[in-house]
Amino acid sequence: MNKQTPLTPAVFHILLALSTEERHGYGIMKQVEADSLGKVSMGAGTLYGSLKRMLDAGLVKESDKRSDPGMDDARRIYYKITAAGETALKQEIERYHHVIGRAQEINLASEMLA
Amino acid sequence: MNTENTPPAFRAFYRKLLKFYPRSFRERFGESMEQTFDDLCREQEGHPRRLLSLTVHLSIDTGVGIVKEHVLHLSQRRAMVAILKNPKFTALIGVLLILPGALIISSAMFGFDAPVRFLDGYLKPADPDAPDLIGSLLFLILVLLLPAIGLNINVAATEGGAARRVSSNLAAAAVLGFVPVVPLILLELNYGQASYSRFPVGLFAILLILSSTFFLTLIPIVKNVLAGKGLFANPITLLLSIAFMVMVGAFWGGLVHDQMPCFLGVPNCD
Repeated sequence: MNKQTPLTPAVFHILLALSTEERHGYGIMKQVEADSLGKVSMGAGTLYGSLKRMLDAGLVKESDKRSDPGMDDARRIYYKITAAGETALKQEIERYHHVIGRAQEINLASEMLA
Repeated sequence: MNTENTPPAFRAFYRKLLKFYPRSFRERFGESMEQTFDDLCREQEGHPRRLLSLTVHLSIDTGVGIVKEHVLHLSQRRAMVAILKNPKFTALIGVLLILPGALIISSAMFGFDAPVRFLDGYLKPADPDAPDLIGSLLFLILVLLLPAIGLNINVAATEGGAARRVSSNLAAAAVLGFVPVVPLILLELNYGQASYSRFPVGLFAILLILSSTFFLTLIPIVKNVLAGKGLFANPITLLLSIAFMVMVGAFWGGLVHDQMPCFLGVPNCD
């Protein structure tokens, strides 16, 4: 398993949000909310603190893209996931699968005992 | 940046809050964070209570982020390395090292009230009006040499291993510097109370600073030799260091010699 995993929930959600397209900070926040069905609401401090560490770790990088037709500021910084970020995300999802599988085994065993 | 939907007071508050982030973080993400704040405020347009709630929520989250970034900043010792790489720090080391010596010598030469008046009779020239050439020369050497020693520490610090090396040198110098002072403290505690009305903290502090400074200069030389770099790898630094150590050692020895009767409890030794 990669040394990057297990990921913190914030890092996991940011990677997931960036896995489909490049986004700016606000776009990441909105995507995280959508992905978590509104259960996870990330503040700007958490988001940019995590982004800093992810940039340093090479999980994400700044994109050349600078403008969003829906937004009005050409100076917005967009972020994109890197190959290392994709690998870390895949490994984390595999880890979740393993944990969920284990939980299901335990539930199954409990039902068998009952 | 579209800011017309964000109340100016909230925006000003959030902008001020962002100033508490470490500078490097602020320069990298400050503008983006302001943009994100404006975007989130735009969502709540026409709902003042929700806007207030959002501002409180974001301020708390940002406040936690500020503390976290400062802790990380310090734990990674980036601040220490940044300080050591700054030439101003070299000057600061020089000034801090100069200060005790300058105070003592100035006090002795010019006779103004300083907390080290016990040295007045030791270094003051016999004729107060006559220029004290030796004292002036000593003072000049101190002023010139100490920044050079500070620079040497600084250069050594920036060549990798940086902060850890300097802090370990300082710790070792402080411990080693304490060793020659301990017997004098014991003498003073056993016999000296008849001479002084109270324990001479200032005197021992100066002795400790002098001996620590001596070892702080000596340790890098010893480490270089042990690392196989040779004693004469940097002859100018070596010469400056030796000259400085001789001066500090002579000063320390002179002080101890002068005060030894008091340590031994000789009445009216001052």
